[in-house]
Amino acid sequence: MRVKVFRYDPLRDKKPWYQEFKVDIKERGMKVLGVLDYLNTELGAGIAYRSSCRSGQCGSCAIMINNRPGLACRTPARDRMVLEPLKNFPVIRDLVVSHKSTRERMARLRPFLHRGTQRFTGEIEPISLRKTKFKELKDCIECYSCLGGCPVKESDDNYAGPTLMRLIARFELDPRDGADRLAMAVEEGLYKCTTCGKCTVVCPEGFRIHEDVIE
Amino acid sequence: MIDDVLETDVLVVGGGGAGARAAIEAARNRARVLIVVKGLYGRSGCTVMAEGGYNAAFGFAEEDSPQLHFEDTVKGGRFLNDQRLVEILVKEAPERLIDLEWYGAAFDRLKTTLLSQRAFGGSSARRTCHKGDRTGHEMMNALKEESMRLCIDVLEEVMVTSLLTSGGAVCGATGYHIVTGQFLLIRAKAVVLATGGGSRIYPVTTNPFQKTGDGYALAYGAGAELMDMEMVQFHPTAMVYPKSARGLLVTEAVRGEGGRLYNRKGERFMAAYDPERMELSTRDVVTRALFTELEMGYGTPEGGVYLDVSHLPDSIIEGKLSMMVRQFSDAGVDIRREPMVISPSAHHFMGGVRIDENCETSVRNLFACGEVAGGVHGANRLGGNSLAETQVFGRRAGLAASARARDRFLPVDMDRVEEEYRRVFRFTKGRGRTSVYSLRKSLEETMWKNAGIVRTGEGLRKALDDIRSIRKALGKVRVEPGRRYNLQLVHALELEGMLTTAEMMVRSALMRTESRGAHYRADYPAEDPAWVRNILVKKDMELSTRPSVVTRLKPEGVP
Repeated sequence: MRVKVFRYDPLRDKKPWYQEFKVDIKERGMKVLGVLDYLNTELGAGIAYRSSCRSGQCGSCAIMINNRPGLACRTPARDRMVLEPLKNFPVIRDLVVSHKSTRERMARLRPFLHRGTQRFTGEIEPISLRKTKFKELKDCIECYSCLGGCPVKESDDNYAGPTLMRLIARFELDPRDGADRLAMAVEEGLYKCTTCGKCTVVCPEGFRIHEDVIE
Repeated sequence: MIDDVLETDVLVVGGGGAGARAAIEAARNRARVLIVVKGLYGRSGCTVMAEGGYNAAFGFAEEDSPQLHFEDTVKGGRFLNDQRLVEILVKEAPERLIDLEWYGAAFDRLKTTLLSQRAFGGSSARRTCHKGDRTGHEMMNALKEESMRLCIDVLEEVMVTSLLTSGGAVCGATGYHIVTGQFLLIRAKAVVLATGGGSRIYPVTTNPFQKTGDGYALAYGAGAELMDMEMVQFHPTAMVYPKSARGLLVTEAVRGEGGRLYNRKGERFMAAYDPERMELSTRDVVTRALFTELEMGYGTPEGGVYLDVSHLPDSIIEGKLSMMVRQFSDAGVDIRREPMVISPSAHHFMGGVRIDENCETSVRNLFACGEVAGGVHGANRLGGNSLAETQVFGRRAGLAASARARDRFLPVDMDRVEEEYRRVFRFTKGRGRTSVYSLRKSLEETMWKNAGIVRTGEGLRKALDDIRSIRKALGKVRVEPGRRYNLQLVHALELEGMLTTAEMMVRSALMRTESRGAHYRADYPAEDPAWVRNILVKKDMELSTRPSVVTRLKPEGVP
């Protein structure tokens, strides 16, 4: 199996370069993350990448795999694959990108429940909490794959992007939340979305982001 | 030498469920709080991966009480638990779950408005609250949202390398900022350790990459007392193949919902080990049953046994075990039609830093909560108890630590900081050629073989020798010289801590000449009533024992 990996250490390299590896892995069901681990532990490649849970639950390991965003731990490894850092994010080193500006923008959304003073107890349930869409939207692992795949985000930074729109929708659908999330979504560039559906295609959780969230 | 100095009232080391809860409580009490995480906040711990649920004796599903929860926990822990801590756990778990919903979580409900509760191993009532099989993810989101509300500072990708002390009290920490390559001095009036467990010491584990037991080594280095370090829970059901998924958790909820275990011959073998509770026996019992079946050659060709849910309706499987459906379909298995192949995997450290009711350790200003702390679970942890533990003791640690905000900063010994700087970066200047990964592999293998599910005195002594020689070889390790995002450096520093932790584990396991809970000695297979004692370990590997703390429930067989 041949793998091409994006390498860049801004402190040492003048510009990014690509390193090619040949690996002898025949295991059935091998994932991209398994290959990266192999390169580092067996070949001492010293590639910088993020990973934690190995099972698509923590959202740390999203990268570009053959120019398409995906979780390294869930995407099957293929011959001649090219691994690059997630698009639309500044690179820290190799496959590691900075989430800083995304997180700051997220904080601007005041992403917490604007609740009243009534404390819920284990016995009370606002009926609409059962809404399945609301429940599903809470399962987002914030891997930012959709941000890396969003063509609008690429050209227009005023648009907050699908991850953040999902976050706003999660509060909009929460009957306990009292803030005007719709106005917030418009302010964050809701109408810039062209509903092209690229975010939905790459979402590892299988959310229909452009349908359920945006509309 | 020092690239940056930070100051805060309360420093929380770790950004999982316990760390976030501690930070929230400390911030609510108007202390300045800083969370530092080795990985990403809320993503690199076990909480976010936790699937099954959260034990709270609401008694919604069937009759239940905190007293019953207490008895289950202590019996499950084979009487090694600190019963003062268990009393706190069972009493406060329901309140803390309601806190979580207040922060924004939404647990599953029954058709009525009550919380849904499922059955879990070792529990005598259906007690485990959940959100499908992504309970921890739901909790972590709520905790992150609440910490945003309170504007808590979070510094991600900083590995704390040592705790600093002044006159026997903790006064701060040093850290390697992985993203920038900086060496940090963090001064604090109180430090809360919430670093989680260390199951990465084993090659087959359910834990994320970051769980290398750093907190045990940090506390040990600061002079704190640790307890029950021999007690490691091996989760009976984890994935066997593909290799990159080896060890990944198959949630206990699978058995809770009615999953059955079969060996190669098609026998429901749990009937031979625990005919009453069958698959829902405690984890130590199921793990050893599995181990025995595999030893006798009744395993599948892949080296595991079968766990089957195909007799359950598809709606139950898809609704309540959605993560499992996906996890196995990634590996090419449709669990609605065919059985899963599973085997045991290192899962949880019951032992850890000894704490009092306010989570303070034996070192002043140092607090611990979550998996890094010991005493709550005794010799075996019940499924669903540790998510509850993170919240109950996270809150207590944050509360007690925030009271120190009124103190003054203690002076920092700069010679000690300089020494630590040299220790951290010495690997980048190493002269040898040894790969840190080959050493980690040797440690993992010797621990799995000699200090794993079944132990013997001979094996443990072998492990001790191996640890010694790996430590020696550490001097010959060289990592790449770059400072920025140097994973090799992180992994070398982790290994140094893992060796300390492993030594504590092995020495304690050698000392405990009986079998109890998760600790099984083939040369001492019976439980010995004289051993209702905790093994304590502190500086210079000094071991001692102490009778377990009993409040309400007298140990069986002890007059």
